[in-house]
Amino acid sequence: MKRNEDFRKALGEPDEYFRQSVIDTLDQLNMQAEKKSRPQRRYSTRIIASFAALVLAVTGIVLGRRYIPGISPDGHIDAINPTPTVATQLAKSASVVETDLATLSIRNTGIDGNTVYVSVEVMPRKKKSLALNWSLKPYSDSVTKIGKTPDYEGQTVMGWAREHGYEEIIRVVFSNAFEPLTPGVVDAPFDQQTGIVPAPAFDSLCINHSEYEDNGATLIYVTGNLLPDTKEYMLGFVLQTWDMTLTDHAVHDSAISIDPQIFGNIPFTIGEPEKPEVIAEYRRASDPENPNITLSLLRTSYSDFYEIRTNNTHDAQEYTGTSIFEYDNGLPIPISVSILPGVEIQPEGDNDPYVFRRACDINDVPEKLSLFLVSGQMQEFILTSSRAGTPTGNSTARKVVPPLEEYSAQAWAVTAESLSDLYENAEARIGQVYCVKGVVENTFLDDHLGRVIINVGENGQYLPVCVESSEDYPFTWKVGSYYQIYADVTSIEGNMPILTARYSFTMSENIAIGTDFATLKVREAKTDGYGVFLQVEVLPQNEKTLVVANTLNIMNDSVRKLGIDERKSIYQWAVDNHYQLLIVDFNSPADTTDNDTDPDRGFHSYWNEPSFTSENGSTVISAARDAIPDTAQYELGYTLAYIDQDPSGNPVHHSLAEGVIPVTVTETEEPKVIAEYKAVSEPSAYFDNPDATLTLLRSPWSDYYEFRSSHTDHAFPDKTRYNFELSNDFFTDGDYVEYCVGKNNFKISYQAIEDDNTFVVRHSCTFPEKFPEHLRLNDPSNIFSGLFEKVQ
Amino acid sequence: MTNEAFTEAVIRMTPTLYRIARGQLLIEADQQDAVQEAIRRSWEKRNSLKNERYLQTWVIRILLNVCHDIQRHGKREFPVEELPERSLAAPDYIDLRDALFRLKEKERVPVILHYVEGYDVKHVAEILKIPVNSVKTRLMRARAHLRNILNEEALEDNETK
Repeated sequence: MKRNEDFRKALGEPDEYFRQSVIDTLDQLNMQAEKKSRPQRRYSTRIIASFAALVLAVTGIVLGRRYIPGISPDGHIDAINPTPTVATQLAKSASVVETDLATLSIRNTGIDGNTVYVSVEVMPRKKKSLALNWSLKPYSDSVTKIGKTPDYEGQTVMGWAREHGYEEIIRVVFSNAFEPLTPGVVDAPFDQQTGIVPAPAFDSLCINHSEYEDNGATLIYVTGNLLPDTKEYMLGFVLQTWDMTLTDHAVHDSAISIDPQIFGNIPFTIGEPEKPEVIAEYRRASDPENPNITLSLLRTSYSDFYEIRTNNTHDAQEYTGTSIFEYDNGLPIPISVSILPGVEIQPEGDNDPYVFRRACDINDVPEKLSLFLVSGQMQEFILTSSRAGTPTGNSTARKVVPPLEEYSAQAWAVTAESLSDLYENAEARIGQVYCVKGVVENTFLDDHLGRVIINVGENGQYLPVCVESSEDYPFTWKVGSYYQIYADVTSIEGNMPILTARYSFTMSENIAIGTDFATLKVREAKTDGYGVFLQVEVLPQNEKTLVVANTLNIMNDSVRKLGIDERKSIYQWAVDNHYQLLIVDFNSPADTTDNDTDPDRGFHSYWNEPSFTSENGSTVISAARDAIPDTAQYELGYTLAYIDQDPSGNPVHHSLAEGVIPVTVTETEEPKVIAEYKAVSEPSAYFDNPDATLTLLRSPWSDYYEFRSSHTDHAFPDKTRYNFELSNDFFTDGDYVEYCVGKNNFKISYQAIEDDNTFVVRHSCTFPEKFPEHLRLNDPSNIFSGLFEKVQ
Repeated sequence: MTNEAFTEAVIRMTPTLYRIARGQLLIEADQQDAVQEAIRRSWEKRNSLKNERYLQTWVIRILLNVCHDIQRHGKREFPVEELPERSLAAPDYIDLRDALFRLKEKERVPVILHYVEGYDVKHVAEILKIPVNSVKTRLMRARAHLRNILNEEALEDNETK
């Protein structure tokens, strides 16, 4: 017999650690509330804008343009990995904090404009211990991310650490100062309440770079905002250790940060701001419409800037199109840029007005000064390196690449025939432009130019082309990803012609990606304006391979879900029929431009209907995500993994390949209103929403409901929030509209305060064909829950 | 609702929140994350709450949804044979906890709320926002399933009141 007490004992009582964590959470919330009630120091939007511009540029992001790793969608090669500038100004008073896990010390600090730069050395206490920047995921990130050479292809940080005898991996997080430990330091610059960059973007934007030194120390660069008249600062830190015992990397990078957790603050003092050195000045030449614009190139120890001065308000209009820059007539417009250290512009002559005109075109905000080189003519500039100690060396002659439309018009398609011609006549083809479309197969690890082999063959054909990024526009290729680029032949090594990538481009039709294990083809890509819906056919290369979306539970889900009429689990069927399971996981590459959304925002596969075709072994997998306004181009990330058995017969994952498929979606009809309801007053409701309305909508792809209310205080602080996730059918009894129901097992949600000051929450849903006169909305926080009656 | 009242109420609820999270999530770190996140979410809207007497059911409901979010995001579904971290259950009750986890979620939650936390079925229905009869049905099915799992027939004494 089981009594209530038995059940209670089965679940146990919270231990002291758990109770303390609740108390700590409440303390933290109370303190935040207290702080919000105090007057805040305000910053001008100008300062905010310039800092944001600096941080964005450093991280390779410019608002208004959306970048994918390596190559930007509008055809320009990105400078994705700008070499970090090294802080050289010593701190006035450095500080050291010793903990049980590591000793943290401020190595350098500096100031530049409105930014404080700090480099923090983290030296683990144990000899065989490795300190990682918080953003690194040791179970999935390559060991190359910490500057180590992998022992084998695909070696992760965790794999490397284990195989090199490391006993401990420390996760280092920098944050706002912890207030309980810093009485009197309320307005510390690393405080998200007063800081310029709002949480949660603070960490990701402000921890710029980390270096792993031979002595075991990890050096992490952090930036924060400079406060007026403030010399004393605090930087909060949290140290945790990663669990090194897990064998399945899918269980998983975000879940295993565990005890011990050490946190504290590092105090430090800054010196005087460094005055930027003017390294060059230009005046716009031969442009009668805008004669009074000057351009100054400025440099501090930490970064390079250029500053444009103008008193022509007409120019201001050019700049107001972006939220980065503010304009005051006659005042400088600071625009931050990141350039290769040591590179500075020295045009061959002083009569090149085109250079300057590019600088003033805000639609082409240069990420590095070398973009000035883009001109309409094939000609040569001389670049000189004048900065001591930098790797770029002496004067270098650079070729100037024509604009995309001019350059691409010269391109030859890469086919088996043209490739054969290229190999046979490589010398004669130097300078010839080619259009290269294919998947990156290999990278050359030791090659700083980012040289890769791209397979341009289709339908299993192997047609390798060697392509490298140019020195002017270096970027990191992603193995397994599909690229569409224009490149010209620049050299020959052995018999291999080397092409240098200049521009990327996008295509309107969707393509098939071939890997060694499967071919993935987007058969359908639609949007109804709220969601994006894909049908992806996955055809395995090997026979006796069963492709399964990771959404399905291979141990519990029936193989009938794939359309195979047997009463077995997927796994059991595969074992009994000697099939190998190939698991496909769809996701989205990290979108660092989007800070207002769920971190997991992106494509997820969902189960739709049986989709296995026995004739050719292919499986069609459905995937969906929320729609991005005014966007037709998306990226579908994929990971392929085989399932094997360990000696005990348990399934074991083996990751095989990952990559990105560019997807172009087409619009279908927008959702139509199918019913409207208004709120009914209910004494037992948690919250009052007397004027709320509920609108039910339907598109060919999903149903949605839209809750509207004048209560804007329900909105989250960031005002607009998108969310997409997979969902399970949770509470389904009764006549309820569930916040996350859906036969397709996904949830698209959106909330915002719209222009008319109406608070709107929208969720995907699945409705019956007929609606009752009254229905109840049941949302996760219960804020919008309530009874509604139908409007006739 | 004042901050102090909210804080006191949540501290009083700690054992309940713990057991609900523990009944929903297998990994200890997840359980703790879920409770903290539920406290944060409810804190954000505490001042809009119409009546303080709703606080407890409201926070529990939020916690259930947070647990659900974590289950979905983390995909941390384990076969029962691999259940981790059960040391906090008294050794004699490990079978019972495992049996609870074999129940479907929609049956397990009412069992925890009713049998473990002592809410009557009306209260459980309020928390889950489902009809009272649905709660009774789920409890009945849960008892039958537990009986099968534990190979016992002694749950009748715990009839729904």
